[in-house]
Amino acid sequence: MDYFALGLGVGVLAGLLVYGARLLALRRRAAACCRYDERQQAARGRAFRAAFLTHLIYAALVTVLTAGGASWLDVPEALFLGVVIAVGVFAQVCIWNDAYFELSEKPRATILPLVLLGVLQLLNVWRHVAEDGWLPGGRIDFITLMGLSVGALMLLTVVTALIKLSADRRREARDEES
Amino acid sequence: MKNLKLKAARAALDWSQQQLADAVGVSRQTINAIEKGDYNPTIRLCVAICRALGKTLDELFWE
Repeated sequence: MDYFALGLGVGVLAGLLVYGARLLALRRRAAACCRYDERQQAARGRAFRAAFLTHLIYAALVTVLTAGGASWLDVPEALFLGVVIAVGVFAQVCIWNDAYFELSEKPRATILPLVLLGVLQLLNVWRHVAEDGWLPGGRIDFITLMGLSVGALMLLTVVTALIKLSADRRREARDEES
Repeated sequence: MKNLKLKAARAALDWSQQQLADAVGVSRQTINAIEKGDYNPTIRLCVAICRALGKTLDELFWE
């Protein structure tokens, strides 16, 4: 039996089920959900600009390093890493400007899925590295890179969200006193 | 610059930031940012806030 195909099939099926359930939940709250107000839209625009610039600078750096003969990563993997870094910049700027999710209203529902996803990614890397080592063929392969970068992104997002939540609570307590 | 007039008008109705935010269709953080002077709202949002609090633009947003 081809366990890879079986695992892939089960994974895709599970993903579709989760996506379908999420879609149903979103439809129920369609009126209020996923709308950003004018301040949040402006903040998201600034975050997008920061992410875009980050990606441009990163792509230029990769091009220069590749032309210089660097062989730490293959180009597709390097570009994937750039996308993850840009998404990370977008998420951190949005969180810091209250323009991503209802962090202060629903902290657990917001943070727990990110922790779960980050830990799952890192566990996947651990399993993969145990089988094939860190650098099969002398380079980081895609599975290791994806797991590490996405896992790190999720956990970094959690840390940012927790710091922001804590800062907001301190600020609100100060405001109530004054 | 803080918008103390807005905060006072909201407090006079005994509304929380969340209640005002729900009434005008924005996030609580946006109302907080306006009161703190961190965000300069559009005229459309100013009018919505004035309507919700029963005040005029001059009373809440004119210095």
